[in-house]
This record gives sequence, C-alpha cells and structure tokens, in this order.
Amino acid sequence: MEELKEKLKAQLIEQLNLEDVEPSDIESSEPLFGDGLGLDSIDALEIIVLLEKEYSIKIEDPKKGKEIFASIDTLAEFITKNQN
Amino acid sequence: MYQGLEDAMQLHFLLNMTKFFIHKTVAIHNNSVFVDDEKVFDTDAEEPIGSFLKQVYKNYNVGYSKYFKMDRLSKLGFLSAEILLNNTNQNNIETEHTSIILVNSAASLDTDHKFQDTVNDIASPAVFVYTLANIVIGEICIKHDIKGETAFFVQEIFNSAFVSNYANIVLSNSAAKNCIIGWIEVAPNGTYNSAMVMIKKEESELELNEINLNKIFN
Repeated sequence: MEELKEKLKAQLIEQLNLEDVEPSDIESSEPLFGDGLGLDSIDALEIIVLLEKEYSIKIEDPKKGKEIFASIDTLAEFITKNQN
Repeated sequence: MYQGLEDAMQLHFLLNMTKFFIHKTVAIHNNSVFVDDEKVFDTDAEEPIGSFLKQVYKNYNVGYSKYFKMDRLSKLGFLSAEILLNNTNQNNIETEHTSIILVNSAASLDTDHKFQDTVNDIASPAVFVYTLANIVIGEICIKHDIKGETAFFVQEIFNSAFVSNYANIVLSNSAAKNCIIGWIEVAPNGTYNSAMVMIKKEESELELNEINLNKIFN
C-alpha cells in the first residue's frame, strides 16, 4: 500500500503539472482539494482519466468521487479494493 | 433608421472628443523579452518555447502555480500581461477598470492539435479547456482581478484600424479606464510571437490610432 501511495503521488504530480511540488511535499492524509493540495474540478477529471488509463478502474458512482478523492490514503484504498 | 443615425453621430462625436494614448509596450519573440523596445531578457536562441517561457516565469518571480497547467498560448499571453502590469501601482493602473482586446491568426490551433492527439486514447479534460483562444484572457483576468470588457478576435493579420476603433469605443462607452491590446500567437510547430500595449487616457507621445498601432503590431 505504501508503495502504491508513493507511485500515486508521482503520477499526480506528472498528470496535473504540479511543477513546484515534490512527492515528499504531499502528506498521504492531507486533503487533495480545497485547503490541501489545492486541486480543482479539472484536476478531478484528470484523476478519473488517470485511474482509467493506469489502473483500468472506472468510477461507476460519481457521488462517491468526493469520498474517493479525499486524499492519497483514500485513493490508494479505492484502487486496492477495485483493481483486478 | 433615425436611431441608428443618431447612434452613429453620437459615436462619431465621442470618438472625436476623447483621445487615448499608448503607454508601456511588451513584446516577446525570438527568445527575447522587450519592454518599450528595450531588450530586458533573453535566452539561448535554440531554447524551445516551453523552457524559454519557464525561464521568463522564473526571471519575473511570478509564483503562480496555475501557470504550469496552462497551454502554451495562455502561458505566452499570461507572461506578456504579467510584464505589462509589473509594478502596477507605480503605473497607476486600476486593473478592475481595465479592458482586454487580444488578436491572433491561429486561434487555439496549437492546443487543438494536442487535444486531437488525445482523443484517440482518452481525451484529456485539462487540454480540452484550452481549446478556445479566449481562455488566455480569462487567465489574465483571474490573476489581475480585471473586470472590464474583453474580446478576442481572430484575424489573418493584426487589423490596426479595426482594433483602434474597437478600443476607442470600449474606452468611450464602458466603465473601462484602461485597455490592454495584444497580439498573442503560438503555432503548432512552436513558433510564437506576442506584443502587448497599455492604452490610457493620460497623454503620452503615442496617440491610439491606426498608424501607431501598425508601427507596433505589423
């Protein structure tokens, strides 16, 4: 799980063009949106694309997006549960 | 018909009554930045547009993380405006009452090509949002709290007569006290060119008119 979290941090930095951010700057438990990493709605769409391309996972219920995308911890947990 | 004639006369009256003037100019081309025709920054001529603009960004200590999410057209326009509005307080510019008129010939073709490439796989939302040329105006407005009238025109070459008239109308008939006029162009092959000027009511050596805009933009 820790390995996946570190991989996710690197992937988010690359996919979302977080130029001045290092993986070590991202706390796994900190919020990705709002006060934490400050991501926006377009970033959320990019994360959906990332999950589909890199992990072959589709989010079937959009209402769960907020819960899944809360932090690196929740994202990693979701991937682990849903990956074949 | 009568109302139209009256409007035309009113416009003619206003255009002849009020004069506006060209102030600071910024130009970015050939890996160099010019302010009022003086070269203020340059890099190796071989540097591609992306890394050249990144060096401009760092040189001016912009510190705006959303810059890195922008497409190349928005980066070029954003940095041109950043340099034009540098030391805004000293230049006495009320950004809230500033209008923006931008022009280019390729619209968002550079990003349109990139988006087309992603469509074959999974289309990128972050690329898609920049497939409109006027997004660059939005990026500038958000950064500088600009709330004046804005317009982006696609013209084969910069039409100085049209833009001069349009800027006169905007400054005479809206709440705008200043107007930014610019040409911002990025081609899919990475060639780029920008020129941007600030128009104000305060007198300068250059009056806003077709001839003077031609000297700067063509």
